[in-house]
Amino acid sequence: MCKVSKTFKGYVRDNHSVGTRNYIGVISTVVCSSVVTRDIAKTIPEGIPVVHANGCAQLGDDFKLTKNTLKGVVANPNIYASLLVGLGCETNQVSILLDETIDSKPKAGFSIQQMAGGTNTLQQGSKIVREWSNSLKELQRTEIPISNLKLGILPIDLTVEDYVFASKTILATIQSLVEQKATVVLGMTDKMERVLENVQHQANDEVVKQQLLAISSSKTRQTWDKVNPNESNYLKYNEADLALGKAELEFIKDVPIQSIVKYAEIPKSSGLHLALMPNNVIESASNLVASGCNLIIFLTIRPIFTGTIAVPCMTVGIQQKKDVSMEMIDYVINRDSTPVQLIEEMIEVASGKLTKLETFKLEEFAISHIGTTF
Amino acid sequence: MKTFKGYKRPNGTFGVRNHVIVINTVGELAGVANRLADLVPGVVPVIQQGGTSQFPEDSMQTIRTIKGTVGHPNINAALILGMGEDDFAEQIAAELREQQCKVKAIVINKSTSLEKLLVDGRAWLQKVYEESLEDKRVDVPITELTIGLECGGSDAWSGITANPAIGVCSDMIVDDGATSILAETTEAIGAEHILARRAINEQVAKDFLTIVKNYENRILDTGEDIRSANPTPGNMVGGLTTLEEKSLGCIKKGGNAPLQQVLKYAEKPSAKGFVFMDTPGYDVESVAGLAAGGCQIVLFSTGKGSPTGSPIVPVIKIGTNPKLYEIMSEHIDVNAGTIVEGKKTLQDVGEEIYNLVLKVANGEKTKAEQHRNQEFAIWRLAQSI
Repeated sequence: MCKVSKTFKGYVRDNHSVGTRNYIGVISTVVCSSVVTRDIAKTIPEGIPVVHANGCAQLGDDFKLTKNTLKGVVANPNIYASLLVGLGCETNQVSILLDETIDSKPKAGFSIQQMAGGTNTLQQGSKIVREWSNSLKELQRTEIPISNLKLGILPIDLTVEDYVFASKTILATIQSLVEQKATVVLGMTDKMERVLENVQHQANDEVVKQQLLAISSSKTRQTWDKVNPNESNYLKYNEADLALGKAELEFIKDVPIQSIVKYAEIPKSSGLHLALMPNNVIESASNLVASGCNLIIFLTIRPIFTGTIAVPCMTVGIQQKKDVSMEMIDYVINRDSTPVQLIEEMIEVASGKLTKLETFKLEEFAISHIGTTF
Repeated sequence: MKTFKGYKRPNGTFGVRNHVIVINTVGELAGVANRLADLVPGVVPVIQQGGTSQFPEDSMQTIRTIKGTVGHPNINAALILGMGEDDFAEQIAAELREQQCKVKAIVINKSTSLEKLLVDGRAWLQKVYEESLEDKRVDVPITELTIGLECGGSDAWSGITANPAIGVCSDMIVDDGATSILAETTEAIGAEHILARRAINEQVAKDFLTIVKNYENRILDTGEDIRSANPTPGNMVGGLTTLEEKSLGCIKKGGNAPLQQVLKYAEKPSAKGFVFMDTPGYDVESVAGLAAGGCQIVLFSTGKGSPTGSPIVPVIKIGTNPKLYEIMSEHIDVNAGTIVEGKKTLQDVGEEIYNLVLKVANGEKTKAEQHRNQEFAIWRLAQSI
């Protein structure tokens, strides 16, 4: 195990959560308010626009996912305060969402229709975020135990060879962070989901064990429009797919699994959690923001061209390869890499060092769908 | 023959705008597309977050919408950003270049340098944007015009003022030999039998009833009932009580012309006259489908007030009531509230909308264009996988 005990410099919130960045979120509740949301965010240096394509004409679980994601963004430790901006007539009513978000941070919300137009909305919104901006400047980074790190990990486009190459470093990194009471949320690939029965012995309790088994035996439709699909309508996983899933399990070998985190769910304890994720990078990273992560690492063999709003996304390459452009890679796991080095790099980023994606300002946000709009 | 002043494209279509756009095929490139658009003032970013991890039906719909957007008559030139070996950017670009559209694809892979990509992309966009400024409008027969019909933030006045006035305009457009496309399948539920009776033959009627039934069934299949959420909270504040009441008002936008054809989302009509496109009621997704299907202008009625527009087509807002126009005139192009006040008739306002359509086709900017409302989203059929 990697013996490293570290601190990082973060922002302590009134609710005792710790941010690695200090943003004011201007959050559209629906796509219709996205332009004025961006305009308000531009009026202050700490403003980030959280805009997306959802928020109206949604039903049931699909609508809940949108709400839970936005509530998770408001609660994210990197957000000092949140202004919710709606249109007014949408399904995702701003007043209801405002009531359902956490009370321990500054927050406000209104709609364009309530303000009688975009100009008034911009004026009122700018006034509110400027006041928050002045208060926020008083906050300074302080030395924080690493137990306050909430790390999201997303493996992207890896082969079995890549998993094998990186597993020693990543496993030791996860073990070290878990040992020091930090939180690690690993975004599972669909292949890993298929082989979760192999880690049932790592489940923290019987509930988690049953969840692992249930996910492992679950099926995904191949097409969406068949009512009661038969066997041929489900996605098939071959031996190579399952080998890929098993290789991913090496990242968490023998580490206790505290819970399965659903879309936009916030883990209730420290330790290792496994998260259900879509394969869309930006939707997955945005999910991790909603799950409370204050740092995200992409494990990859190629440049990733998007980070997410609010949380630094650090691109960790696996082996330096001649045909891969390195300008977007923050850290490379090579043969002589150690988990200590990787954690030190993460601590620097958590303490304020900009990632390549932050430097290039490639930061987007998207909410997954689990149903159609109407 | 009535005419408007538009832009003639090499493939024989006609635009009412002359946009240069940059568009991404996958969500991962949304930020890069935005960066490129920022580098060349005047270039319009068309940003979407899907394109990966979608069911085949969703993927096909995404491809159809992007292709329809890039090949739209309002587009002078387009840069498509794609990613990886299987990306469809180059295929779309090749197909559209065969149709004499000015399109370039840049497909990014693991060896791509972002800085070089930004330099190359910017250089191409700068060149085509400068070329686009040389284009001149020419006289175009009105038969080449296709308008889309949309409503959003509806209230109890929608079906009494703005929507039937739009219907008057739609009938005038159809009488001119042009095309008018009504959308929003979910807002035909409960009134589908009325529209079906206007179909030119049994097949078109059957096609229309089928898309309405399928939409409702797909939602029921997920364990939900659309009536539980539609009318929306804002519709109810505006006085609408049931989906059927909303639908009866919604279809008024289609006037009285015979229904010629039923289109898939983002599909181009093959017939002139009045047609219907299968879209959701979700405004931004619906307008994106109408635009990708070839509408050069969209008419959009609103009772509660909505600022949304489109990155590629002018959207004309028609307010349903006098109070809305009083408090939100910055977003409203036509005040159909004058009908409530007894100052104008449906016919008057319908003609006012028609005249504004021609002015906008000639280049006059709508309120949504003035405020840079360029929202874009593609209708999602199912979950991300």
